[in-house]
Amino acid sequence: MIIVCIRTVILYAVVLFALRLMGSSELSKMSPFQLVVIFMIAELASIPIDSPSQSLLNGIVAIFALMFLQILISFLTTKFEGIKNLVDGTPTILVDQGRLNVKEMKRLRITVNELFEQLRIGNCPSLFDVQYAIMESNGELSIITTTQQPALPMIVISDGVIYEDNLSKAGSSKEKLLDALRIRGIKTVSDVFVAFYDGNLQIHVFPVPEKGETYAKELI
Amino acid sequence: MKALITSIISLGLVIGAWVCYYGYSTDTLEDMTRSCEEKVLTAIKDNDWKTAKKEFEADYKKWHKYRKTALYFLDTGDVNDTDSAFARALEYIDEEDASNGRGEVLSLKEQLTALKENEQISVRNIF
Repeated sequence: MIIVCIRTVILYAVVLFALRLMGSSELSKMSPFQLVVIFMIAELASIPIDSPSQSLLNGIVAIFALMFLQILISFLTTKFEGIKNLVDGTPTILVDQGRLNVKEMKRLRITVNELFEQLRIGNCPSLFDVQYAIMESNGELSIITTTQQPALPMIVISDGVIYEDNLSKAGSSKEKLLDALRIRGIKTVSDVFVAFYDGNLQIHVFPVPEKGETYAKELI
Repeated sequence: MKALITSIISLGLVIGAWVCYYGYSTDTLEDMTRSCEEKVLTAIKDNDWKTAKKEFEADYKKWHKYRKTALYFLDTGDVNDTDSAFARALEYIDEEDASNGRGEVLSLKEQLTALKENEQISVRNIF
């Protein structure tokens, strides 16, 4: 019995270490992918506790392997848009300036009733109050009302990578973007931490902070 | 980046330990399997009980040494079963019981082979 207790303590420390290293989720709730990894880690930790004959190292290596994969995938998603889209999915615009995107609703298997339910929960009982309704990759519906901004804010550069899809959705082009960077004294895209067009189609550029600095400040 | 490097080091340490164990384990288990087949079984067949006991005791000693490391990586049940098989086989050899001794040593040889094969990187083990 004491062996079970000691193993529990060891595995608790291992799981704590793994979860701390994996970090908290991006900015809000965990994505389904992260949730699955957490559940798997919990299951893997319980096996050596339940079965004292099982090697503790086998359980630890499985947890570390999952932790490594989770961190690696998160790291790669920040560097490569393709991997990010594959792993996290892409946000989908379901309502665009009062128009319903029927094709995407069918693809996501969302019924009209479900959509209107989410709009009501988001305090927009009428479709005409909604300028944009976006199904985020974590399954939440973001609603931008007509009283807010005329256009949808779009990230066009993140971690030195240009998001060409978003660039065209923002009505811009690579040349205009590079011009905007040149005006601000930025020579290469890799020097940009994040750049986005706001709802008024104004570009905002945040360069990669200097060494030793914590904050990225906007270049005007 | 720090988290990625830490996770690589953590995983690397555990896998590194396994790699070191795997090399040692494969050699030791192969030695014991070969000794069972070539020396112990042959001696039992020839009714040379003195040689059979001497060789088997040497393998038993080797097993005890190997067991101390194996318990960290293998299922305790498998290790205990092999322990029991060694003890039974030694008793049969002591009693000069040819048929049971041969059977037990053969069974032990298969157990040692299985211990080795279960740790190998193979499609069979993965699936």
